[in-house]
Amino acid sequence: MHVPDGLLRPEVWAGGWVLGGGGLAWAVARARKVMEKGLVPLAGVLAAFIFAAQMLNFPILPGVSGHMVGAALAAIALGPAMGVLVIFTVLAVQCLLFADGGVTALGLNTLAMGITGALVGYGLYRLVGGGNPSGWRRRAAAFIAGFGATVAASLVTSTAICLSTPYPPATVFGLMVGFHALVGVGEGVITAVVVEVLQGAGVLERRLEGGVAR
Amino acid sequence: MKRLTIGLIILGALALVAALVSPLASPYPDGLEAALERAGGDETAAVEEGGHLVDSPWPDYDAGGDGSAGSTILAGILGAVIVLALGLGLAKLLSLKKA
Repeated sequence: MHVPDGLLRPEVWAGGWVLGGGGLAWAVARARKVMEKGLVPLAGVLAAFIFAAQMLNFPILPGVSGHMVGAALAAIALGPAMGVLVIFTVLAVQCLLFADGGVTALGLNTLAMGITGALVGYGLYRLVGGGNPSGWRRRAAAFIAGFGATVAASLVTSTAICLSTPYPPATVFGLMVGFHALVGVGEGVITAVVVEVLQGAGVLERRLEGGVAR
Repeated sequence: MKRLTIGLIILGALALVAALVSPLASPYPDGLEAALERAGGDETAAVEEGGHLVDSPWPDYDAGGDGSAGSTILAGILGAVIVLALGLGLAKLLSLKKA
């Protein structure tokens, strides 16, 4: 879902930077308050996992592929603020070192996949899972979080495309949301599997210590 | 061993496996590219050709420059290590002065 340079109109990618930059500023301020030292290694290793997992495009339809984004996973593991910053780190490295996603579009890509993905993913996980869910409720919450984050990100990207191109909005939204609902199934499965690893590692209960959701 | 350490080792191993199998990733256009091709046709293809404004050292995850599987794996490992370092540094900076 990485938007390249040259697709978005200047007003649209600039707007993406304004909103994405605002979201990043919030994330930095929030993470400074709540990020625990003990979770620093997890932030690094999870970012590396998400980078590598994003390279693995899986087929969703004949001739169409998709890959996980990881925003819901990062937000569940580290809280939405640090989750946003982990995804931004991945997107910035992909764009600057691997020409994956545009430099001008990095703000919009951060807004869609990072900020929208992390907030929607985290919100859905808490909504479905409650405080610290166990068993199948946790797996269901993680699946829905991953699925919803991917679809929500595709809505933001679709909006930016519609504001920048003459393509019929119904076609853009229909194709984007349709394809990303299928990608979202894969995202949901991977999110649920890795959340089980986090549960085993004692990360999820730790994030709720003292009854405070970080 | 601490539970967190074991979890980190599992996640790190999954990242390594992902990098090692990355040459097997589907080569088809992703959801965004496929949607643009269908909605916009040829015009979009031109946009994607010129789709990057700055020169990247390893475009298209081809770290060796020869398009081989090894080159893709190397890109995956390089990228993962760089992201690991940046993630650790950023998280450390943000967590200073807290327990």
